[in-house]
Amino acid sequence: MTKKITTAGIFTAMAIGLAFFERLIPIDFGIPGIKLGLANIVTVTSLFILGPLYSIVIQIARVILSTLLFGSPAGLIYSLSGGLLSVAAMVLILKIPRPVFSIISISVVGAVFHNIGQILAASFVVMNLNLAFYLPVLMITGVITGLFVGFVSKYLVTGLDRSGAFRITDVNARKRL
Amino acid sequence: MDYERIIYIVNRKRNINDIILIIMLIVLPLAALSLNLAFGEKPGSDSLVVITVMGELYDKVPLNQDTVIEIETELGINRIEIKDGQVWMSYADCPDQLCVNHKAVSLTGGQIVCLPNQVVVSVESSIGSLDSISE
Repeated sequence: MTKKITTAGIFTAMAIGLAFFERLIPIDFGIPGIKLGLANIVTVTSLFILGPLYSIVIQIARVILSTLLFGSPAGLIYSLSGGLLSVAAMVLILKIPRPVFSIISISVVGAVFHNIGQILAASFVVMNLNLAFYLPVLMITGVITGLFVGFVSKYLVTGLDRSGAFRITDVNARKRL
Repeated sequence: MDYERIIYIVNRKRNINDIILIIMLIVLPLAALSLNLAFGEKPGSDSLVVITVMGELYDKVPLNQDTVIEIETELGINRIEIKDGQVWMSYADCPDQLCVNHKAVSLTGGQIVCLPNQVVVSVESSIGSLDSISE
């Protein structure tokens, strides 16, 4: 229990570190909302190592902290809705009784739903459904960044499991590696 | 059939599921995008050219009606032309000429801005009642 809480704290710090690192890389596609989503590595990894409950808590803490540190508080609602929808979608896929989809799919779906959540919140705030035109573009870029994050998480989780530091006890999760 | 073989088949099947999901997630948005480009934003009778001068609404003209609009204010002169479902700024006496060099706009949401003369030309959907809330 204590180990899990400590790990959750380290993961949150790592996510904020990754968010900061991502801000240092100047990638500009001309379309707002396209990000590599490095912090998603932490969400996917924590989902496998600590379980759904911890990953949801880490996600909320990470979004609030990185918004306060790097973003404007006005953007909190977009980030929070994106982050929560993303982690909810990933938990749902992990909870499918049979291991139909692997960690790669979980990450891709998480990235896509992150964008969907942000667009939904933005559409709701400005009351303009025209923003939905952005959605197909953001979904495609979400798939690409989600693939990247998925492969990184796959090797990270496998490595952590093999090192013996974090044994993946959940059989359901183990089948998805 | 040994254990390794079963694991291999399970893994392969799962990979196929992954690939199907990822292809779906790429194909569906692409289909939505192309449908949108084919039917969604065509300059039709529902598109309006909204001209704003110095922050105030100047005129609303249907995009499918060919006209030339001259705007004269104390800030300067602008000429806006609408033809074949496209709108562009054909003349402006502003120093930077950014608006004149801007390519013609036809899709909903497209904008041409002449900052020195404070003229904003934007294409909007006339049925978009939701737009009014955000204004």
